[in-house]
Amino acid sequence: MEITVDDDGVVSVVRIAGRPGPEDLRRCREQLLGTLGRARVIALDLGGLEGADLAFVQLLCAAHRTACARGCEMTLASDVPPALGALLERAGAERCAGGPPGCLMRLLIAACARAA
Amino acid sequence: VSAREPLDEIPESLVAAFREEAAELLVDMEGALMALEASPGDEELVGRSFRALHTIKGNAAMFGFVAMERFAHELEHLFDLVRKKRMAVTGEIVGIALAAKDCLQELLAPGQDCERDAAGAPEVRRRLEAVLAAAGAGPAVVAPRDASPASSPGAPGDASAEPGVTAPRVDEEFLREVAELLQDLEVALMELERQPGDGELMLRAFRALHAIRGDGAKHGLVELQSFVAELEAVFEQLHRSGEPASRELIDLTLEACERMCRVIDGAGSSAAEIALREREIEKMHSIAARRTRPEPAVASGPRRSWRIRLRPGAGVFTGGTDPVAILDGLRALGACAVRGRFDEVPSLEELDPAVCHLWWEIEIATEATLDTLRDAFIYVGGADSSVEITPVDVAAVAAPPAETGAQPTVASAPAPAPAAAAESGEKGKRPAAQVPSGGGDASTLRVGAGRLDALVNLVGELVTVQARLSREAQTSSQQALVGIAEEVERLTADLRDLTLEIRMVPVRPVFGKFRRLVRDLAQSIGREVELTTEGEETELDKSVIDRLGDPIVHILRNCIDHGIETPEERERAGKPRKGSVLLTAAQAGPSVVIRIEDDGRGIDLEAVRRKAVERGLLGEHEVRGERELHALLFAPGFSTSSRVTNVSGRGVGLDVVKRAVEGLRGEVRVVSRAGAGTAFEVRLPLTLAITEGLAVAVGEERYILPLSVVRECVEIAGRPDASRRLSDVASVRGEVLPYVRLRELLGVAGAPPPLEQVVVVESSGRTVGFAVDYVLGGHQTVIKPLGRIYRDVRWLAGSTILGDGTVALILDVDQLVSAAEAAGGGGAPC
Repeated sequence: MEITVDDDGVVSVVRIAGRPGPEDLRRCREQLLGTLGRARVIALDLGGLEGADLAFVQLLCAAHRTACARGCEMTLASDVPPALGALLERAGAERCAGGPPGCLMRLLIAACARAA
Repeated sequence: VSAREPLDEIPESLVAAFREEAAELLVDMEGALMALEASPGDEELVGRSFRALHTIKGNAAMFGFVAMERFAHELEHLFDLVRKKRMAVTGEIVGIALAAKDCLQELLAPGQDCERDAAGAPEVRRRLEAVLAAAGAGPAVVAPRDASPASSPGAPGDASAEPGVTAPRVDEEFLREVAELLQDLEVALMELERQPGDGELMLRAFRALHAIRGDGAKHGLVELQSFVAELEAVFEQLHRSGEPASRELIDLTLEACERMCRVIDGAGSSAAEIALREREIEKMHSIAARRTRPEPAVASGPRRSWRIRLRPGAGVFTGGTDPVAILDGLRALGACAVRGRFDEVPSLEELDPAVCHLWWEIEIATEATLDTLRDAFIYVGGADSSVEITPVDVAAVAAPPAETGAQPTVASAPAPAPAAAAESGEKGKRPAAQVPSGGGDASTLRVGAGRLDALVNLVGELVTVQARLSREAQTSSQQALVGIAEEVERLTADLRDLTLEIRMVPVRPVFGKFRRLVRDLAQSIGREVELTTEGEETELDKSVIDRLGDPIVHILRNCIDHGIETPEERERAGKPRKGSVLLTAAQAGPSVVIRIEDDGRGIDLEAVRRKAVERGLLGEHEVRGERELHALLFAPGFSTSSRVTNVSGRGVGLDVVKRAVEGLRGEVRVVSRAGAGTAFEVRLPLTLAITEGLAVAVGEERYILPLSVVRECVEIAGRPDASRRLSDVASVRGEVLPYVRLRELLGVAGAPPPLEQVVVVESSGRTVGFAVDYVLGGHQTVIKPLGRIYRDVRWLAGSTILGDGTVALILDVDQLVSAAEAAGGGGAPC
């Protein structure tokens, strides 16, 4: 998995590509935490994702929750790979409950549907 | 990075476990081979042999014991051909397999090097090649692996040393678990071969694969995880469809087992290996697809609706179970509305990415039964996981579940929230069906014998302390103390029984070894003998079992060499040509009786008497009963055989038997009928740690006599003139009873009381009494070994501590009688 952050002082584009494994998730968490500490807007670019699992989805959810709590906006900078959209649907994220307003999960599914 | 620790870094305990397990498999294989000789067409026996070799090969590969792996593989190939009906079982094949078993066993002995070939391996290979050539079959194809330790994974040239290959984090526990799971998988596959439609076996194979995948995931073995996931999917598909497993699938899965070993070993990471695996998976899927019915066959009933709350364990992400796959499985059962619950996901600061905080609410309308629904969750692992299944009204399912926290829309009589229903237990409302998860499977633990010994020792100490407590309580005026002492006594007794029970193991493995012995022995001396065993499930303390083999071997040798006649002699006597030896075990109270019975010529009592007179054990005209004459057979160096063979006849066998059995605090006796056969009966205590004894007092000293030899206690008036004599006789119910005064025999100071108690014991066919001052009563004796200084005092069997804290010596009755006889007129036997 590769994770890069392009930071222009206002918007930080976080690009996550490849297939995140357990160790990658820890690295990803650290990167996102660092970015959340300094950016007002975070745009996720997940176009290069080759696969993902629920642990990754949960990480994104936690990041979105933290961003909301800090007044940071989190959005998408790219289309979402169909595999991620399919995973979210299978996991019942379409009707997910308990997330923050403007649930990232629904955003992801919608982006995926648009791309399709 | 080395994919696996070098051999010399594998923990010795793990290697020992491997040796132990492989030895058990070889014993099982030997049993199968022996039976196969009699029933060459028995596929189950062929399967057992194949399976044993296959497992040994796999485990050996996992440890890097290349030579052993290769040797087992060559033999496995032979049985594979037999399994596939390309060869028939012959005496030569059984012989080769038995010789191969000996070779493997040689390597498995402690201290032996598992990495070399056994001395007999070349000869076995030569014979193997000959039978394969005769059958037109080629030799086993062995993967080209350098057997030298230098080529362990990670060494130059090893595939696993390629850059970018992730090193698996293999540890002792993982290797052990996977080895056990693979074995379980193989057992299930073998059974499936016989019962291809057995859903339970299919499920068992699936569970084993599932667990292997989980373990692989935990250890970062991505390749193993993905490979096994594919296999698991095939078996899950077949299980759901209810289709039988084909031979092709079973064969492929068995091959896959080997591949799993190679993946774990790190040797399976090369491009060629991966391609091979992919082809294998593709093949499996095509088999499964061909055989799968279009509609899943699930137990069905009327269409009902259920609400399910699924909370996987926190470790589900690393445990190899994919909750999404479970949800997919549910969807296959009927219309499903799934709501992922993300409300427990913490902030990023608090999140441990490996811990799952997600849970699900599902509503499903299905014809599947509750059991089928439960089955969908059997792999939700972790003790902290939970699944609640509650029936709801049908109408509720048409619409998706309501938003957070709200009750679902129901047309009538809404079911309570599952948790509430379960907790409230209100009448008329069905509680949620809790699906047990995590650790639901029965499991066993392998515990080192040393730990068990330590536990038994501690329990022994506890029993002694408890006895002291009870004694103190009896003399105390504090009622509360009495109550506590009684409670401690009860708990101690339970703990003692449980602890001793843990050490109990069946005699089956010991019995299994004798089949081969009898076969080889009979062949070597031109006899035809069939060994039949009964009561193999009878259990004995492990320490007794470990020491049981030698005496039984001696008795069997004796039966075959002296008891069973030649086939011609038997025919002349009107008996079947083949002699029979029956080996049985049965529990009888606090003892286990092992009986070895042959249908041979029986014991010639006149020959025994003649030999005894010749050796000065009997006077020429001395009359002895049958039992006493039989007892003479156990005298050192006694043999009626005029010839000495390599099997027996030297007169050392039965003497050894007697000493070994007595060393186990048991007794051996023989019963025989001329012309009809002989039976040896070995009576052994269930355990060596604790025994029932009779406590007696002589002066200030306390002694314990084993209760198993005590027949009765009688009271006699001592004669003043005879009080200092070592031995005397008394009339008991009109019969003369010789007795020995322990006071004189053991040199205890002081005068005996006017009335002496005589404890009547039976030892080696003799009935004799021991005069003591008082009989104190039964005593549960925790046996403590004596120190080195007392090692040569043969009449002492050990020591124990009585309830009042005093030490009592445990007497070896047989030795004591012999010592008294030797002492003759008096004096202490030591």
